[in-house]
Amino acid sequence: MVDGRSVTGFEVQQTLHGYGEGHRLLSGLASLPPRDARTMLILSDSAVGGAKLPEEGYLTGYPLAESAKYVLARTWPAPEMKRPGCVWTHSVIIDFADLASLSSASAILRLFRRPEAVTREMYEGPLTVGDPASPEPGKFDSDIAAGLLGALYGSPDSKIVGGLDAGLDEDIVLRVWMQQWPRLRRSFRFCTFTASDRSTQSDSFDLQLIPNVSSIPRLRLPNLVSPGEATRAPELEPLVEDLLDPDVDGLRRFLRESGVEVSEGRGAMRPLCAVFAFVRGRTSDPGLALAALDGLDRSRASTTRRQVVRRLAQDIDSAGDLGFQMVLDEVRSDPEFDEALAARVGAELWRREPASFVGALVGTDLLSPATNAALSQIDMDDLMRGISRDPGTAPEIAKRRGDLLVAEGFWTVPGIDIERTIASSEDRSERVVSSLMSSVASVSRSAAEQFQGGAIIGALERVGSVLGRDHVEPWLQALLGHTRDLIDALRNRELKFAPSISRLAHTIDPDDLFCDERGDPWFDAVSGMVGELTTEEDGHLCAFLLARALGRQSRDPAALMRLSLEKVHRALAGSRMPPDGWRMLRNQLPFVMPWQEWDRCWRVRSAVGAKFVDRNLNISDFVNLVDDPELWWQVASDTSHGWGGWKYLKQVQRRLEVDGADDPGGRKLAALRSIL
Amino acid sequence: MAMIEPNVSIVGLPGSGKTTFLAALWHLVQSGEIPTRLRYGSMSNEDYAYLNQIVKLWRRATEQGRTQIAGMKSIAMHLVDAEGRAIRVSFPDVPGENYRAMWEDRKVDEGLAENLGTGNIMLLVNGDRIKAPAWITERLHLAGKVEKGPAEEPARWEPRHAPTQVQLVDLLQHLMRAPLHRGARLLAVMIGAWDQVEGEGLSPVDFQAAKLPFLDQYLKSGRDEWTFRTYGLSAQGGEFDENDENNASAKVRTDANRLRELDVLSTRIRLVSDGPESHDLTEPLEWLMGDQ
Repeated sequence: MVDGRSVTGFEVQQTLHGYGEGHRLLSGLASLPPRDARTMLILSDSAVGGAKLPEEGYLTGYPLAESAKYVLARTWPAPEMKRPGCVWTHSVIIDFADLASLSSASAILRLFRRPEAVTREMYEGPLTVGDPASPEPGKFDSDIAAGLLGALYGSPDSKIVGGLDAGLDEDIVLRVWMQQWPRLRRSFRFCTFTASDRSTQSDSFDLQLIPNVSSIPRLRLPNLVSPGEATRAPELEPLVEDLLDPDVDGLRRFLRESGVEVSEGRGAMRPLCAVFAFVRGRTSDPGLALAALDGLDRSRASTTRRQVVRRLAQDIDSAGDLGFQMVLDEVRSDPEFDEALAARVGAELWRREPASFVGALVGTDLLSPATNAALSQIDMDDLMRGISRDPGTAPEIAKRRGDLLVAEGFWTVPGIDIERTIASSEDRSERVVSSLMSSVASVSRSAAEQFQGGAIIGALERVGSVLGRDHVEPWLQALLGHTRDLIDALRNRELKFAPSISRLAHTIDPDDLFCDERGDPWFDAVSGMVGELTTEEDGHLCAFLLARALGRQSRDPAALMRLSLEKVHRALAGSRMPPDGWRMLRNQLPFVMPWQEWDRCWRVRSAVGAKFVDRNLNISDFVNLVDDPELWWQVASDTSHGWGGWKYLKQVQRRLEVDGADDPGGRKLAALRSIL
Repeated sequence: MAMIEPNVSIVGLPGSGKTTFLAALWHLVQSGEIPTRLRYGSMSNEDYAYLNQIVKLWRRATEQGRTQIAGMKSIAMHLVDAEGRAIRVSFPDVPGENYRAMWEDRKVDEGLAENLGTGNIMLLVNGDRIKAPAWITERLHLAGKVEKGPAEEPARWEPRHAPTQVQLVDLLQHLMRAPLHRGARLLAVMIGAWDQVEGEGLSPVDFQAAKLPFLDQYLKSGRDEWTFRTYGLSAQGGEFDENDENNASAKVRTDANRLRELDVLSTRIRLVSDGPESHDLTEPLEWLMGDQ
């Protein structure tokens, strides 16, 4: 089995070379291009000069570049020939494509036949390679294997020459060969017994075995490396393990998938092993894998890179900057990137670079869906942390995460642009206003004006009670833009919390809200008011109501005066009226001579009386204007001095004479009689 | 010092004794056992390993193995003549397969072409392995004697079946045509294994005329610009032991024992020409230097 595919066998060509007035092709395939035929002629000749060839022969493996075929040949000594130095070489010629399907060389080895035992005709036709068996566990010293692999892949541009007496043999060479990915396998040149360098100028042998290690120094090969303790490389440990126990950890599959895209030949093995170790979790240091990727042609090794990226993505929080950037690039470019993994990458981007995250959110590449998916999963604390790092991200984040708008602490993150953040969101609900109010963040009037009056009023009722005046001020101001809502709220007693009403009275002008036929909304609001006010607040509110009563807007001034006059008078008399209350009230009082200005109580009484007279207000309201008899007498007295006052008071007198229900004890009537 | 290079190419079909000649020459100039026309000066590429390997076998009176096809071994040797002139002698000790390919495949290796295109030629012919032409009249005569013999399918003709002298003439003609042509050349025809063929009582010149008439006529006709001499050469001096490399049953020969026991190994070498017989292989080399 190769990659899960069943290999059912394939045909190979064969040749026999030997001596016949010179070394020559004796039998078999004759249709090779001349250069390949020449290569076969040379490499089928004896690999040794004076050394004694092993009776069982030796193997030579090499590609035929023009034919796109690979030759595995066994060469035997031919002492039966008259000339010394003659050999037989039986070559099996395998298509590159078929070579890739081999997982073990044993099926090929079984095809070799020495000429003495068979007739020449047997070398004429093609041979069939049976079902390739899976490679069996190796039986050799792992130290020797480690030295060989370290030399081969640690010195990829060198010729590797090892001694048969040092434990190397045909079996280990074939296993190393079969371990390689197809592209490397088909370019790998090796010989298991030689006494000199078999390389030519254009075709260098990768691996050659010689009888004795001691003879290596005499070889005088350029760029020669001999396997041993010094050539072992720890990062190739997976290869050694795989050689002993083939493909238990998926290494060969990995090499097959990755190797198809690498062009570095043997030089790619070390980087690929480092990548494999990381991808399979054998090492946790992504730095090694990234450094390994640098050793490969990035434009080609996309599969390898993708595997590293996938692994990095799984532990994205521990990835370094370089690795993280790679993962990001991959998410951006790979439409098939796992969505859940991409979302994790997006979340990590938020943690590292909030501004880039927002950039991706609004972008059009494949990172955009990843960040959007991530945003829905990032918990509130992480969101706040990111916004703290880069407050400029708040509007875009809040736009997509509405829950942020009501999160405790969000509006107080230093540096965020509240107005822009509100503008970016579509949520204009009362709970957002409540969140903003309770955050006690500094909200501009223009920011508050983005909300509807109802939402502001509801929030004021909900959380305004516990807030300082400064914090609700912009909201109250914003309400002025929604007078209809405000009037309804006052009239319907939706805004009934006394401090809120008091603050509203501080914010707006007494004449700001119009009245309709249903009466004065302020009267409704104050009548249904709940909660306590301080003396000062109460004084100011009464001054506001009285000022409104004296102003031009209210249609029910008598009712407002009845609510406020007594308190205002008492506060003025006791010098307890807040200055802003008096200023507001003063603006509604008639002009007096400068020497009369000091008597504020008189001025108020006169103004109230004049209002009744001028507007011919309801007699009954005048009768019930205040509870204090003395004050009532004073008002009546001051009214009598005004234009038309005498006449109005006579109406009041007649009313009391007819119906004294509102004058217990006849005190008011008596007072009028004394005045009139 | 005058430098003349390169000058000699040793040419011969497989098994013609090229490597044995080189081994004998190396022994001759290295040992100084006998006076020679040319003496050893130096090696330019210091490839002693190969020379030492082949000379070891020669001294042990053991047959040389085949020269492998892979890696042409170009031996460049400085020889000094009696007048003190240094001469660079280049021996492309290439396998016979390369010359065979020139005949059979009409191809010449680039490196070999470079060598053959510049020097004079020493053509080695194994006198004991000359493949004579198969005359049709002889075949018919033989067939007449073997009545009702086994019916034989005529073998398909292949270039390899051509007579030795046909191959040699073709080879020499190649050397006089582009890309190998370099003008008039000197040619030393060395009839090797002379100790094996001298029993016929022919001088080397007569041997050439009798056994290689086509070659002889080609050279004498002057069709190409060859100036030639013919020598009889026994570079071994007798039968060597078979090479025991990969051959456990290699034969040990009594003649080889005799050769090993000679006090002066250089006397194994025998060079026969019109003049007195000598042991000096450098004599034809000196002649081949003559026009340079």
